[in-house]
Amino acid sequence: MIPRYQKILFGVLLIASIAMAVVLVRLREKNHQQMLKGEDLAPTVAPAVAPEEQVTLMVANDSDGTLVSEAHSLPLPKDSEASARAILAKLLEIYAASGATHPVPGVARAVQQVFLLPAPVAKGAPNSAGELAVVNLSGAFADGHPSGILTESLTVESICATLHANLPNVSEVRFLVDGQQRPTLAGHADLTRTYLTAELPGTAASEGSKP
Amino acid sequence: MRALGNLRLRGMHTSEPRATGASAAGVLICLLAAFPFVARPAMAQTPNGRNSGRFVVVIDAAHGGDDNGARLGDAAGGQQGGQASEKSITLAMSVRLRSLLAARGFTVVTTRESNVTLDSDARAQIANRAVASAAGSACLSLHASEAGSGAHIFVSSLAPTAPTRFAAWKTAQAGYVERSTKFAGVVNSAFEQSGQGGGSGPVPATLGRASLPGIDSMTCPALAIEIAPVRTANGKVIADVTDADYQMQVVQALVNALVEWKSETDGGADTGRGASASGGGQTP
Repeated sequence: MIPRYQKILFGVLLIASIAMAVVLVRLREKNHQQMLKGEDLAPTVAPAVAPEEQVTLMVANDSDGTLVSEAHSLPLPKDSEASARAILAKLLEIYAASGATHPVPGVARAVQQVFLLPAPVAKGAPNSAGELAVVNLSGAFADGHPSGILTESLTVESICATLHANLPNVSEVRFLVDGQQRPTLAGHADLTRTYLTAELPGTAASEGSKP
Repeated sequence: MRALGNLRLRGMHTSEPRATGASAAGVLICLLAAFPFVARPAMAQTPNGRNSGRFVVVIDAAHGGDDNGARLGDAAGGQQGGQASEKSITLAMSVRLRSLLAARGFTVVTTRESNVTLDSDARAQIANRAVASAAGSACLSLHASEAGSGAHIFVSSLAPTAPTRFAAWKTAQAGYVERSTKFAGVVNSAFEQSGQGGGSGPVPATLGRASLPGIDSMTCPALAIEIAPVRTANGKVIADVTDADYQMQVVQALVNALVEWKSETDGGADTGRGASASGGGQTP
């Protein structure tokens, strides 16, 4: 025979359990609704931060060792340093694509920063209007770059020529890897020297505009 | 060089009557006057104005030791000659080139004969020491790569300047860029003519300029030769860098180029045979 007080206690616990289950289900539904509401507020397309502009990329070709001028359209930030970084990122994106004329494995943020500084002037020389571009490459990009004089030189030259084509004030280019000076890109091309854009080799005929 | 040689001969000629005058001071003055020209064997000439010194070829097999260089043999799927490292390919080509040049009487200096680590400064030091007293010279840095097609001939990208007695270490090649460019033309011609008479065609060659730490410090006509697989227009590999026959064709073209370059340096009279009594195969 079950005592009366135990029957009452069992009934209260049962009612409490059912009430807690209902509350739990309601809370879960409420959270789900909030999550869906948050997703609806997120943009479904990338915001257009800037209008597309025409840029010139000096694309390397391993088969004949030349640079080919290509016109592309891409949105560019107003800041010239950020703009230079975006242009170089596009250039390296082309090299990472399959069937590239100058294949270089792609990595995230291959160009970490581009700094534009007044070009150093020798003592007694008149002030120069030129700028020095310091390109800070990522270590992963340099480590994964194919080794060879031709391929490394073309990468360096195409970066210098692309910077000069879009920022004509850039007269000198220096390279860093992960913020440090590195002797060579992948065993051959000298990264310790300053590259003068005026000494870059000629380029092949330009091609049409590409998106 | 010719002007200095004439000065030396004139100085020695005028010293004779003073010496016969038994004037010790006169003899001393004449000896001091002649000293700077005698002390520079590279400037010594034969009476007909031709250099009497050696013609030295410096061969630098790139990489070595801990530095493997590029991984090669992937272009042909490792089918033609298997996979290899750049350091072993360059050393094998260096040994072959040294042997063929020694057989033609060249004085040859190699930067390495085994799998040792050498930095670019050490390579340039070996080359500069070897050519210091030479009448003519040529320096070749051998490389190999998977990128591109055929042979890539590189001259230093330093702006050419007039040769000076003392040059900055990192830009020492600037005084030799013009001669290096002429030498590159000779090598390019040799590649265009390579393979004629044999079953294979010529090795396609491209000329370029590059900034290379070792080459930029050399005081001799210097080139970097990078061999890559020979490809068709659609990218198919015909000859891989690991292929021994292809390597031999490249080496033979370089020998022909060096014989031609030496004959140009000597004024076209010498074809390279018997250029030096000391023979080749020297190591530092």
